[in-house]
Formats: sequence, structure tokens, C-alpha cells
Amino acid sequence: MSFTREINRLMSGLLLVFFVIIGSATYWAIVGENSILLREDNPRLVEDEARIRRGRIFDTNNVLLAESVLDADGFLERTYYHPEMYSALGYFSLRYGTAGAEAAYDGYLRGDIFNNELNSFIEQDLLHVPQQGFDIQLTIDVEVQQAIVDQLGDYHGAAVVLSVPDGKVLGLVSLPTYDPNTLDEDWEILIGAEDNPFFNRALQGQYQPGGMLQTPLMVAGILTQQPFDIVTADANRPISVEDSQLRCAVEPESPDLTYTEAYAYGCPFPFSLLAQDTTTSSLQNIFDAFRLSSPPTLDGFVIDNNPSLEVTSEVTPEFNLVEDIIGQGDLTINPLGMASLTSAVVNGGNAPQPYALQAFHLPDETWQLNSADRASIPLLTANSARRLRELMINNIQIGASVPANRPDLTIGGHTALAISGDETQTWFIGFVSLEDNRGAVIALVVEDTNDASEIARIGGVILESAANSLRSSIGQTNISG
Amino acid sequence: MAETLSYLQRDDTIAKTERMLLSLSAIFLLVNFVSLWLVQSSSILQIWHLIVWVACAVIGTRLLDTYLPRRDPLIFPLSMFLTGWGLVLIERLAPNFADRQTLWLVISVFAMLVTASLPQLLRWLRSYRYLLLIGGIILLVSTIVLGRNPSGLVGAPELWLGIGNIFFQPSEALKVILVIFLASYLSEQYPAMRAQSQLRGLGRERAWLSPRILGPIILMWSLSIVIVVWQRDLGTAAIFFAVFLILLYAASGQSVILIGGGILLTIAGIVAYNLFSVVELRVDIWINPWLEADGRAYQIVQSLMAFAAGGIWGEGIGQGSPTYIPVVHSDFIFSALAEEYGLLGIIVSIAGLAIFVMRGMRMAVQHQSRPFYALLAIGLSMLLAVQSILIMGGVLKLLPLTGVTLPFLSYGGSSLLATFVIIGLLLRLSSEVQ
Repeated sequence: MSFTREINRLMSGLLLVFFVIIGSATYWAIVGENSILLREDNPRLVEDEARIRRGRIFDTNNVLLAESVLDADGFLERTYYHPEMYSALGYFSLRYGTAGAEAAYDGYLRGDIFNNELNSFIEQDLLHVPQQGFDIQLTIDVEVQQAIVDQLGDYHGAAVVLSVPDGKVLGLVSLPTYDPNTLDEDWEILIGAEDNPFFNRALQGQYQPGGMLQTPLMVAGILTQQPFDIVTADANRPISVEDSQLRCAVEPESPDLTYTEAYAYGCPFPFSLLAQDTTTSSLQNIFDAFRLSSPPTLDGFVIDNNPSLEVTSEVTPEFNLVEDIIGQGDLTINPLGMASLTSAVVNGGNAPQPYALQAFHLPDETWQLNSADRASIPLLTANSARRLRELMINNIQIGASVPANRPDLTIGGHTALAISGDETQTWFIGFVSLEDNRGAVIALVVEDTNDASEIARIGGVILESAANSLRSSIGQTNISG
Repeated sequence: MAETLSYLQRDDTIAKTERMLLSLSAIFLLVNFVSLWLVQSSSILQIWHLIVWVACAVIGTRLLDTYLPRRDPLIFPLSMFLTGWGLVLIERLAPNFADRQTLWLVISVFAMLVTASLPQLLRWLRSYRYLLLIGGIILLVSTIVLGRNPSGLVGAPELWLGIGNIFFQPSEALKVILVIFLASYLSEQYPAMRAQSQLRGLGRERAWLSPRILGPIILMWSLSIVIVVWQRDLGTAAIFFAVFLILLYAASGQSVILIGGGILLTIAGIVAYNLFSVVELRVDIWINPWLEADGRAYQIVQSLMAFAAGGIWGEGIGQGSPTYIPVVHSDFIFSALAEEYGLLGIIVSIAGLAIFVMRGMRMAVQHQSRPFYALLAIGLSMLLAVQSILIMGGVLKLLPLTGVTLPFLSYGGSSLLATFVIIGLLLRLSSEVQ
């Protein structure tokens, strides 16, 4: 008797099974990397993320804003030091991801930028050296942020301050906001909060422009050589918008106003009369020319996983040229867009592209300037920009923007109201001009208030702070490390 | 004279081969222990596990040289290599258990040496098979009556007998006992089994209906069902039945036995699925674990993620995250190995197990003139093979999870002891090759 046949069969079967097991292991080892490892419930993803030595964030003057600090349990914890920077910085959370500057510059902060595959394989996969992120320096000035936050106090709204002619974002505030240091603990409350602190009003806000449309309309008037000294009787009369009335930002001393005066007081009625001589397409051309329909963005700042907040009231259900022309139609704008438009006024008609990343470096290395191509966008002719600049400076002498005046500074501005649903919101746009064609612009919107004088005053204070920031930076590189 | 010289030379070659393989294993383990020490910044004292391993290897090979000079040169080094690798993994995954596993290694090597060095052992085992079987059944019954679970968890399978803080899993011993019993029984029955179909003029396809074959099948199937019902130990039951079928097939030469046994196993599985929640759970998460990846299927999903995370090269010892898998140091040590040593580690470990099993089967071929030895070699080899396949297939979602340990590598004193007794028996069998 012999077992040879049975033994051979058993051995063959056994080898086959072992090969099947190796085949299965090969499948998961190769295919799994791009399938099951990417599942959200893979705890290794969080662990890998936690291993990354995330870079620090500095302001334009090298003030430390955020860094990852080892906590008592030996885990890296993201720590934010300046409450006035919260809305600009956003958050970094292993559980909830990133937002704000943390999201916009995540690639730098994680160290993904310039990390090629071979280097990543050798250092991370083979040697398990924790990935080192870049420190980044923002263009934002914590002093300007402080001024905005202090002045806005409990108001809800947003402000954007840009440096001209370079387009640096000096200030970026959205209120209300949240404390990113306690994000994980507060998340459920924050996500359900009615005033939606996650919503970045400065970048995502869809506000009715209201009287803010007077500025592009004035430019259109300059370009078509319209006389601004035509007097409109009872120019201060309000215009009905659904159940509300859109009024002058500040009540003028005389009811009869020229267009120049109406612009200074932010009165909508004279501008509503333009509807008689305007067509929808020509109005749309104006919106397009000033890029109001497609405002600039700060890439990566806006998060899309949070519920959006419709600040506007209902969309205009039917075509109404008067409503469109007084800024109560379909068009909505955000503070960054208005700041960009204003920057063109003081920059010879060219709007610099806004940016917030100034420099980056690895720890113990020198700063490298962010040298991304940022060509300015022509919005106005040089002549119309100059004329509009004069009009806005005039607004500081008479009208609603007078409280923005600062004796030692060349400031121009425009203040106006807009209506969203039952609420009135107040807009202020303005600029401060310094030596060497340098300057700063602001776009400020404050919800649920019609106190234009107060908002203009706030705008003036912020512009003064921006001027101080720019003056202090003259002659210094800001990237001394 | 020339023949004696040839034997002496051969013995010398065996010793050299064994020492060289053990030295390579020691280097591998040293590198791993040092790497682990560097990664974890733990106490250098942890290296004592390696020192004990080296002592076991040196003493083992010396004593084997004395008592079994003509033995298979691969079996002992392979066993020590895989066990040492398991020790590294346990030190990495569950350091609290590493000391205990090291002590079990000492006990197991001692048991192996005793088993291997008793010249009359195989004759005794064959002669006293019924006594062994009774002892095994008593062990099984005592587990059913007095069984405990070291974890103390309510509802956990009570498969251990314990005195104080020391636990032993009788089913591990029972596996070996059953193989010995079956090898002995079938070595007497198999000539009749093979001749039966010819004497009766039956076709081969109907020979399996013979009571000589059908009787033991039903007996073993019933025994397996008892284990499943009373102890909810699906893995042990599956191993018992599979190894039995393989031995019966080897003895009878009837392929239909494997097919019929497979059908019976399937029927038992379907019945168990409908009767026992633990079986239902394991089958459900085997079919589709993704629906409950964070719940009941967490363990298997994390296991598959470990294979994916390890990739081809592995994360490196101490560098992966296999501890996300519950009970990783025991049932899922193969997944941990995949994550930290990658596909390369998987292939090496499977190759190690395959070579081990193939050496056992080779002995069976060499012992064809002695059916008991041949069947014992087949049974012991296949016991380790089936157990390995069940758990490796389980953690890879090829099979439902059965909760058995991976021989050599997994944490578990009883399992290690039983495995080293098998090694002792195989070494003894290899030395008996004429």
C-alpha cells in the first residue's frame, strides 16, 4: 500500500491554498492603499495627520499667531494666541479638518509643497521621519485686526483691508467668530448656532449692495461725461423695498441734491431716476466691467463643508430695474469684492489681486517670499479713477462719511445703506493714501444697523490703523525671520 | 565502516545546517529587537526575551544533537525562527504578555525535547491510543463543565481550565491526541478500507458507504458539533473535522470523502448559522464587513486596513498601527505582521509554514512502510496547516473568522506548548526514517 498519490494531492492542494492566501494579501496590499485606506473610518489617517509637525503661522510683523504644542499627553495640539485673528486663521482639527488660512495654506503648513514622491517615500515611508511643515508668514497685520475687532465690538459683519498697490490683505475679519482652541469641544454648539460663526462673511457673504452700487454708477457717469451738478428735488426721499424703505445714509441738510451730494450722503433716489435712461444690458455691462458679478477670492479660505448663510433677503422674484439700480435686485456682493473695487480707485484704475501669504520657510531656514504671479486687473480708466478718488475725498468733507476723516491723513470714502429682509445693513468703503503711491483700502459691512456715521467712524479708525501698519513697514523687509 | 562514516558526516551536516539557520534567525531577531527598542525607547532589559530565545535554541540544538543526531535539519530552526518572530511581535503589540510568552517558550522547548528524546514514545502512543482518547474526552468534558475564560468577560467562550492565574486550553492538547488516535486507528484499518471495495466488487464511488469509513466520519462530525454547541468554538471544531477528513482520505484513498465531508461541513455551518448568534455574526461580517465597519465588523475591517497599510515593504517594526485591531497579539497577529513587515513578511512567514508542513509530508512519504508513522506525520503537519489556513484566511476575509491562533506566531501558551509537542513528535518521526 502507498500513500504517495494522496500525499501528493494534499501537498498540491495545500500549496494552492497558500498561494491563494498570498494572492489575497497581495490584493489588499496593493489595491487597498487607494481604496480602504482612504475610508474616513480609517484611524490611521488621523494618526498620520497627527504625526505631521504642522508649521507655525506668523503675521506680517512676525508675531506668532498659531503653532502646534505638545500637550500633557504628548499629543500635538494646535494653539491660537490672538483672538482677533480667529476668523482669519480658521481652524485645524484632526476631527473636523481645516478652515480659513489653515485650509488655504494647508499644503505649506503640512509640508506637502515641494515634497516630491521620492523624498516622501524615503523620509516618511521608509525612515518614518515625521513630515515637517513650513512656517508661513501672512500679510495680515495683527494690529489692524485688533483695530477692526475692537471697533466692531458686538456687531455682526465683516471687514477687509487691502494694501495698495500690492494687494496684500492687511485685515480680514468676520464676526461673530469662534475660538479654534476649543473647536472640538464646541463644535456641536457652533454648527447649530443661528448666527453661524463658521460662515466667513468677508469672503462668502452675499450682501445686498444697496447704495454701494452708487460708486460704479458714478464711474459710468464719468465715462459718459454726465454732468454731476444736476439738482434732484427731494433727493432725500426714501425708496420702498418690499416692506422696508431705503434711505440716505445720513439725512442731508437740504432735500435738493446734486449727484455729487447724493453720492456723499448715500441717497438712493437720484440714482433710481437713472433707470429711466438705462437698460438691463447696460446695467449688466457696468456690473461686469467692475467685476461685481465675479468678485475676487482668496483661494482656499472658503470652506464648503459648512452650511452657507444667506444674508440677503429673498431673491427678487421678478425683474425690476429700479431695484437693480439701487442695489436691491439680484446682484449680491461681498466685502472682498468691494475692497478690490476700491483699490482700483487709488491705483490708477487697476485692482491688485488680493493675497494673504507673504512668505514661508522651514524651521531654521530663511524666509522665501511668495512670488506667485499677481497681475493687477484693470477696472477703471486712469482718469475715471482719479475723478472718483476726488469724489470720495469730497465725501469725507460733506455727507455720511465725514466721521471717517482723520486730520493727518488723505482719506476718501463712501457710506451707504442696504436692506436685507427686515434688516438694514451699513456699508463703508474707503481708502487712505500715503507717500509713494502706497495706501490701503477698506470694505466694511455691518449687519442690523443704519448708524452710518458710526460705521464711517469705525472705517476711519481702521484706515488709520492700516496707515500706521504701512508706515511701520516702510523701509523694513518684514521677513527678517 | 564506510557506511558509519557516511552517517557521521551526515549527522555533522545536519548540525551545521541547523546551527547556521538558527544563527540567521538570531541575527534577524536581534535586528528586530534592537529596532523595536530604538523605536519605543523602552528598557534595554526587554532584550532578555532574545537571550532566553538564544538559550532555548542553543540548548535545544545541543540536546537534539545528543538524542536525535539524525533528524530533519529544518524543523527545529524553522520553529524557533517563527516563534522568535512571534515573540518580537508580542513584545511590540502587547508587552505585558511578552514575559509570559517567553516562559511558555521555555516550557514548550522543554516539552519538545522530552517528546523528541523518548525512544519508545511513538510505540507507546500507538499502543495506548484508547487511553489517550479517553483522556482527551475527559479533558473536553471537564472544559465543558469547568471551563473559564482568562479575560473574565461575560459571554466569552470558556475554553480554558485554570488554576489560579495559570490557564491551559485543553482543546490544544485534544487536537494532538486526536491526531495520534486517528493515525493509530486508521493505520490498522486502512488496508481493509482500501481492499473493501475490490472484495465486495463495489465501485470506488460507493466505497465510502462502508461503515468502516462512514462510522468514524459521523462520530467525528458529531464530536465537532458538540464542541460548537457547548463551547461555541467554531475554529477547533473545524480543525478537528478537517484534519480527520484529510487523514481518512489519506488512509482510504477515496476522494469522495473530502467532497462528502465538505458537504457535511457546509450543512453544519448552515445549521449553526441559524442556531448560534456567534456563528451568524461571523458569517455576516465575513460576507459584508463594510456595513458595520465601526461596529461588529471593526476587527476584520481594521485587519484588512493593516494589510493595505503595510503594502509591499511594511511600515517597519513598531512603526505601524496594528494595535487598532482588537486582540491583535493573538488571533490577528498575521495582520500585525502584514502591517509592519508588508507583503514580503507575509510571503516569508507563509513560506516558513509551508516548508515546515512540506517537511512533515516528506516524512510521511519516507515512512510509507510504517503506516502509523506516515499517517501521524500527515496528521500533525496538516493540523498546523489547517489551523494556519483558517486564521490566515479569516483575517484576510477569505473565510469566516474562527478565532484560532496562528501556530508559532500568536500569543498563547497552550497553543505554543501543543505546537512544540508536535515539533517533538515530528523530530522523533524524522529520526526514525530508515
